[in-house]
Amino acid sequence: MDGNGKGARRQTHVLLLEPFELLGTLWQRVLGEDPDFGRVEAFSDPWVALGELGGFDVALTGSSLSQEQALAFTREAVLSHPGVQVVVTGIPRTESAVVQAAEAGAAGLVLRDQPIEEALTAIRAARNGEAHIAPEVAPMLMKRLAELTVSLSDVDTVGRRYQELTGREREVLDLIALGLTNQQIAERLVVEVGTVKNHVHSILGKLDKRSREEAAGYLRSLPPGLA
Amino acid sequence: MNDLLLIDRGVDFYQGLLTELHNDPETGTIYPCETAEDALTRRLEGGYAAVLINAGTLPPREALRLTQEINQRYPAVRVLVFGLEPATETVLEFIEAGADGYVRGTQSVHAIAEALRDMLRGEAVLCPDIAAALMGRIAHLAGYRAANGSNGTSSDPTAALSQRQREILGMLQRGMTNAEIAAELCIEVGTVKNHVHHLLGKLNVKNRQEAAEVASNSLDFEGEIGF
Repeated sequence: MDGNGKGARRQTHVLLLEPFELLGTLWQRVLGEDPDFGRVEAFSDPWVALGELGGFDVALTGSSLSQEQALAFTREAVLSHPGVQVVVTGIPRTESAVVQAAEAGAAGLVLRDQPIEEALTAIRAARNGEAHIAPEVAPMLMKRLAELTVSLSDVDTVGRRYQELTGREREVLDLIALGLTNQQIAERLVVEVGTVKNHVHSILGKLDKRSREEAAGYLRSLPPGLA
Repeated sequence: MNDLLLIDRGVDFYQGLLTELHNDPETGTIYPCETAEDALTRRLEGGYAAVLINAGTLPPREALRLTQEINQRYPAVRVLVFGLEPATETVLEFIEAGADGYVRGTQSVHAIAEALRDMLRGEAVLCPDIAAALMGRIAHLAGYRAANGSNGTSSDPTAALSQRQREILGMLQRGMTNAEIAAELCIEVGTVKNHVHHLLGKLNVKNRQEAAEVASNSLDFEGEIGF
């Protein structure tokens, strides 16, 4: 988003969760040398760090944390500050560790055997809404996404079917969810009852639902902000 | 050795891939085939290492359906889709369907051959936007599943516990009384009782001793660490 505009580029503020004083200082030095990074603060206590997270773009979990601690922090951070991207370091190169970090909501993954440059790249990418995943690790995550999709295939978790509805159909669906009959919907929208029936038929088809009640239930199950 | 099946309406890529992979020791014979039906009903029994699908020349949705179908019926067969529309969401849909590799558009036969080699090696090079979207979707689906009663791969009952409940379970494991736990966490004894009550419910056990046993038997649970 920042493009290449000179001077307009905003620095990335990084919060570091690292209980080892020495490692925290090393990180601050490394990030401090790079003009891309602005404020860099190290915290040793996860609860204190969570409280301060608001002013930062990226949170980085240091490698002296156990993975369990790093992921617990990540989950809490993602819930309390959805705008902050969390980069997790020190991840063992195993399928379960990689998958767990992604499931916890990490925006960047830095493996134990990767060099510091990779961590810097991960922080920059996370800031821009991007990510770098090592080619050997990517298939683990691709496979996981496919598995999750199959296990949740009967629920439309991202409202993809809702996106297929026209504006008018969404309007009708809202009224169905309010419990209105076709007759009442027709009056409300000033159209023929037959037209409403057509809309309802099309809505049920697109949502793959058998009844108005099911369609209304679907509407309520959508993630907030979609409908 | 690694025989390939190419599903493509045209012949351009067949010729191109033949030339490109001519001297490649990793790839075997390329068998062209024109329709999804053909691939599914007759060809795939033949033990191919990979299927290449030109999504650009198949009817809309057909490539996606085919990817899904191959992934479910022949999980050992890897799928590379090319000729994809560049939109992030389009690529993600194919990964959800089980694609092991992708190439946006039909840039060049060389790019397709590269992606194929990566895939046969068990690797995948993801664009930064795809990588970020992939991780975001995994976190979203994992969160959705956790919130709606996990019945997936996480069979560990302690996975359903909140951070606080895990902490308290760790203390139960160490044989602490409610009063001791309350003092340690600086909270009311009544609050501790509440936590214990919910925790027993989530673990589906009758008393604290049973809860402690569940914790001790769990591979994932590490009460003392948390934070």
